[in-house]
Amino acid sequence: MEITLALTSAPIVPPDTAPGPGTGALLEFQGLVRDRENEEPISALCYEIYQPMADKALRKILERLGDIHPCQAVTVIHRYGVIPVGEAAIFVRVESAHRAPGLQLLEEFMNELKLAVPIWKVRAVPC
Amino acid sequence: MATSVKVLFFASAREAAGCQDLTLPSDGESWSEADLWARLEQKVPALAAQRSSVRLARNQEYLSANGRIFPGDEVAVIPPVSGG
Repeated sequence: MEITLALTSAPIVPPDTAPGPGTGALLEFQGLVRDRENEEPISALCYEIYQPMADKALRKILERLGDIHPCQAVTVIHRYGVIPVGEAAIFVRVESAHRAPGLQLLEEFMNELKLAVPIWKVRAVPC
Repeated sequence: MATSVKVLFFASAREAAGCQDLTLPSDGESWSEADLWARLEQKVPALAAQRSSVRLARNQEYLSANGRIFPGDEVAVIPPVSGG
């Protein structure tokens, strides 16, 4: 499975590369910053990252899940720093021959990310 | 020969420590997690409150239950994560 990872403080620009010819399912997921945190209105969230470990951990999770749910390609972009409401903190794109392995990989990847990858929402920026 | 262990702090651990990192002088021996915490808490008592809720990483991998820390290692104090 081809893995493309990026950790960036810049706004996420989803890649516009064409899927491979064997791709039958193309899934794209974006996790956005909502306008409320703990029921309080906010204008942004600030994310902190331990970059070398996050990079290793993301790759390890994707390699393991790719063995369980065979897919052709996965792209993950996680943003850090101050992320305004409505903008993406994470972008995931999965290419697979059929939808089932792609959907399963995406779901399990997001669950594992939230358990083990050293990235933190450290602060909400009030309105 | 490496003579120290670098400890990095993130998120709530960084706030508790009041710094992003510190260096612990090595005694030339490997340390258990408890050995490391004894040294950390002596240097920064405020970290004691973090101990039950954080995990340690050694050279960018989570430290296993009986993992050891060696001179020259980079250790990170990892509070509960919240990415995505």
